[in-house]
Amino acid sequence: MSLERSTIDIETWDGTISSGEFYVSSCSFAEKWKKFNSALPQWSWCRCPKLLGVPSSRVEGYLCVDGIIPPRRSTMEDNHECDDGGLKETVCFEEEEFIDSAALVQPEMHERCHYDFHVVYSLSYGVPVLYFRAYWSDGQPLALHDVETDMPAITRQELSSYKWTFITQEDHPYLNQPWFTLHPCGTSEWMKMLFSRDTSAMALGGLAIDRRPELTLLPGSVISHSTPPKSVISKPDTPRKGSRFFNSPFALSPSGPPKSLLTHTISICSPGMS
Amino acid sequence: MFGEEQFHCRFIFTNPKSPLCLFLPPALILAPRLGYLPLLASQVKPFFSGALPPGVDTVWFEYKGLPLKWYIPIGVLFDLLCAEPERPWNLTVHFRGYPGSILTPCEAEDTVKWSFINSLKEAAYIINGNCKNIMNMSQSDQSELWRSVSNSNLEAFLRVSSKLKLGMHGDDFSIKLDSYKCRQSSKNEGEAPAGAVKPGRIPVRLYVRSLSEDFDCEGYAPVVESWDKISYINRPVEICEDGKFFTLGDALRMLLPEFFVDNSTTKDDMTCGVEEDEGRRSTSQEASAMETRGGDSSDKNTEIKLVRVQGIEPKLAIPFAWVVKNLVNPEYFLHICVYIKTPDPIPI
Repeated sequence: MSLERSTIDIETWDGTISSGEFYVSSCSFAEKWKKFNSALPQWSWCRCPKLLGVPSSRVEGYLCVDGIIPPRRSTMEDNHECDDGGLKETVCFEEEEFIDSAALVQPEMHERCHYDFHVVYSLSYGVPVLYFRAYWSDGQPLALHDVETDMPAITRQELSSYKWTFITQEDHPYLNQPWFTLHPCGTSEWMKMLFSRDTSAMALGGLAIDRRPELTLLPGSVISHSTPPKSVISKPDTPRKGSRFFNSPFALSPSGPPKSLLTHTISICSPGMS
Repeated sequence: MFGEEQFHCRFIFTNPKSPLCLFLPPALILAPRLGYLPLLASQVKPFFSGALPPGVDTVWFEYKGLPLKWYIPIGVLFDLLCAEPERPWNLTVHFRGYPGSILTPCEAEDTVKWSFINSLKEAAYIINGNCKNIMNMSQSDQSELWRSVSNSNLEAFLRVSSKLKLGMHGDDFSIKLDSYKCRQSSKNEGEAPAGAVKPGRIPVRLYVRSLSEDFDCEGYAPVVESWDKISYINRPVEICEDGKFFTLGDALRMLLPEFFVDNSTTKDDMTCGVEEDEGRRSTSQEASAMETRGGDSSDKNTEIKLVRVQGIEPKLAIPFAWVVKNLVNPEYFLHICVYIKTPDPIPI
């Protein structure tokens, strides 16, 4: 599959990508992840059997990583990012803590949670959509209130305010099972923000860049020939990204960027780029 | 849209542990085609409450062993699961054992309401390129809109939905029809009215069900054993008008291209369809794709047996604009059920 459009005019870009661009970006993302985060669970393209209604020339599937074990959050960590050096250190840390406080704390509090993340392309919105599910070590699924324990405080706050439009349970498009999903209605606005040339908007949106690295790379690799803000390209890829990665999808405002950010955007929306 | 399109649902309560079930008559309910099953719980639960053991009830519905997805409109479920319309439609209602691995949770009416509103936002995004009209709805308008849907109130729905400006009730399609008439009268192909230039994207949800040869036998009604047997395609249709009516058949050709390989206009429409997703491709690439698809013998044995929208089986030659305008659901999605006949079931 060849990519027709090697460059995108950022100022007129509406924040969406085509399904072909999604595939190319996903493969590129998996490659980069493998290069810089080889010690962490790997992303890969999960190819699906030919579905009805899909031309056979298209590559149908989604980007997935299974079995992520995030460090369990304690109360003290609510106000700052985890700075674990890597999952292996995290595992040791968990075991040490479990041993030290076994007599005082209930075992459930230190049970490990496993997360599967899938990134699926939405034909309706023209953007990648994050699906995820969580389960205990014995395979039992986590309920939403258990998943909330693994979110930063600010995300839990947003979740209680936007219960129905932020993180919901929906059927996975390919697996026909309930999965949690981050609602995609604001994604294209965020993507426009991330690649805006407006430095003041970039400064205000700096937090968003740090918190969505896995989506930043998807369209970033597509527009590699344009000149995105240097802060995106120069951001170093370190193993810490793995631990920060888990927190990334949840810190956004579910209704899209705040209006104050939008007022700084000079971009002109075009109806659709595909 | 509302009112006239109701049909009987016959709810059966089955509880093997309770001998009382032997004496319970079924509940007969007129269910709105455009509504959602969980909204019927307020009628079903009191009817059967006497037979329930103590405990927390979570109502869910089943048809011949298949748990019914609550976010799919009732009429679509009926069209999809009853190859031969069954009257009354016999459903089993459960109050325990919610199949959480198959059905997404449904806590109360609020869950259905927000599923509806999220679908509405998605439709608005498809049509307008953004969902700001939905996001900016006032709380009272939002509540009124949902109440009009849950209560099957057509007048209230039309009043509130006109504020959404989703351009499907008249404006765009009237312009298209007018532009068509203008072109017919003036025969000036080169000059298109401003309204017709705007590309039209229509929210469509397609449900494809595979049937074996047995479908031809009279009286035999195959049963859907699992949702994996149904192919669900959530994909917008881009209307491509080049001086002629865009028909329902054209829309299906976009969504299910492998079933129209012999049609002479396939190539042109495929160009439109492919363009939407992946940009323009080279002519040779299209030609090779066409050859490959045409040469596939298994595709030729597969054919569309039946197309159902809102319980009717429209001719494929009908203008798609008419189908959209008159048969769309309240959340502005056109739900189309397609039965295909295939000797060897396609792995889904």
